[in-house]
Amino acid sequence: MPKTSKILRAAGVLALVGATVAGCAASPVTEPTPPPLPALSSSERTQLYQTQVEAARDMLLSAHASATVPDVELVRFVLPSEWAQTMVGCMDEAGFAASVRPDGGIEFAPVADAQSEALSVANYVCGVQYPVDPTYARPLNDEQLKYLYWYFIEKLVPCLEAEGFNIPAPPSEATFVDQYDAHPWSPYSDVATSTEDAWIAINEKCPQMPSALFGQQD
Amino acid sequence: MSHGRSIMAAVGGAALALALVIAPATSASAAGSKSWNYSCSDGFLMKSYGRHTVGHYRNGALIVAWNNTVSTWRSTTFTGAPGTGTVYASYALYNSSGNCVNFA
Repeated sequence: MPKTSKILRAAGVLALVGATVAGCAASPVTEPTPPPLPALSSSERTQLYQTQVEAARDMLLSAHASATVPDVELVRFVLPSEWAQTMVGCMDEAGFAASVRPDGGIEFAPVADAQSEALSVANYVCGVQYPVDPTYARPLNDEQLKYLYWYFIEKLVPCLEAEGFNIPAPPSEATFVDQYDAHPWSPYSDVATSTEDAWIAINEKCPQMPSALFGQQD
Repeated sequence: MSHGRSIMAAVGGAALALALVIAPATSASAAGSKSWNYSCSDGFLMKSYGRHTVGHYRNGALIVAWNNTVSTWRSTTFTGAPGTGTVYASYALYNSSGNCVNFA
């Protein structure tokens, strides 16, 4: 038998087995392969970083209109998974106590009113020195969005419903992808808890994002 | 499992009293910010659905910050005295909410 025919035959058998297994399994949809992280050129990275800096500056001035925005140089890009710990270290060096939250955020120790602007400025400085790699900051492409939709429908919604939450009917995949930039849909939109601990617990049990959204790099 | 349902009921009950005690403060969109003046007996729950850097502020002071590589719901609960809660997002604030919650 020609090699090509053998391959096609083997693929057919695999497809039949796959369809049979899928028919018996609880989840009828096969987990797709996580999309690889799209490459970013050096110039694209620089341009996106500059956009991040400008957005951070605008946010600082929105909170503290009279703040003096210091000139800050990039120290290094960080992975999303190391952002919080890196920021805490940087804030500590700036003289502000902070800690990493279970949800990946950073929590600042209370400061006197007179120090609130300085705290925000320090947060700006650290964010510009140690930004998340712009590779992870671009809008999701269609392949990533389809993977995210699969995760929402096949994993997240059942997980939240098993915990007693009512999740509204989801949009179609096409609608989800088309509208994500302007109106991103999330199964978490109607999930409410009365305490911080309960919120953290449900987020740990039913993560809002799949860990492989950016390939296996994060 | 009834854990989630009981929590939602607690929030719903608190929301009923909310209209009496919460006054909308300044509000803006685009780059992304929203504020609430609150006066709650137990706590004030502030939620945001934004992208990139998001900060939750109480009375003008930064309390929690996140870096959302993808739009994500974030939640903070403020306890104690009445105040103003504000959400700022560097790229986009798609949704947000502020509610009194009962801890009991």
